[in-house]
Amino acid sequence: MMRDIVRVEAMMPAPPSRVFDAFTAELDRWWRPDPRFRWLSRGGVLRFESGQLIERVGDEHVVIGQVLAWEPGSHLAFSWRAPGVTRRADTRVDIRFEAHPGGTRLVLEHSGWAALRKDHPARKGTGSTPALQGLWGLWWSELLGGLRRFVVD
Amino acid sequence: MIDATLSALADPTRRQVIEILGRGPHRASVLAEACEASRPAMSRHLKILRQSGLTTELPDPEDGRARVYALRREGLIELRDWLDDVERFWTHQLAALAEHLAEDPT
Repeated sequence: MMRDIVRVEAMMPAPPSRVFDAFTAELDRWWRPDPRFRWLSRGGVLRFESGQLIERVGDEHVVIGQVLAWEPGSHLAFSWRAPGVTRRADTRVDIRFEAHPGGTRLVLEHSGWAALRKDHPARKGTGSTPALQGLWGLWWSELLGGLRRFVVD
Repeated sequence: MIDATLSALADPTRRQVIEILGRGPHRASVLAEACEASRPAMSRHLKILRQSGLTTELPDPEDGRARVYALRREGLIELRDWLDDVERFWTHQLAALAEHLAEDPT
């Protein structure tokens, strides 16, 4: 019902297999250090190594995520740990590479919600009485109206 | 404060709680059952969510002795703003990739 998926699409001026290689094998050559998204106090380079995504500065390194899908020219997926979070946050990045006139359409989705148990009454909005719902009805419509990112289906 | 929010959301059970509360306020007992967690475990999760600012605790309008948990608008707005930052971050990185490829497409 509520979802947090950040989705970004971009056109790349090269075929899917080339784009996949550039994303993975050449990551350290194009990645832009960002002060809000770095894991070591001196921002380092990101690299894919042995099925992991790692940030390296000198002798230090931090594992940012594990590779979850590796289909050259088609699909790359890896787990992603938010910087500053003491426990590993298992959000996920999925990147798809689609052939397109002029090159490749790259679709990146960064997601993180766990599925709710399908058969639980709370999933259908029951388990909360009409009186309770009514009382908070106005409050909820104001709350949901303010949340552009969360999609209510 | 976003660090506390992200740490709170790092746990799958707590993410489930957020999703359930998105449909309306609930008592701790309902949340525990929905998430298949013990009452003590759910208590710990709810405390972390409260401390992170994502949820608040209110009297149950139907039973003054009971409490219900609800999402807190300010916490969710902070989370939404962070997700906007994540979107900008990836847009920025993909632009860098496109530039790199434009210089060396083969």
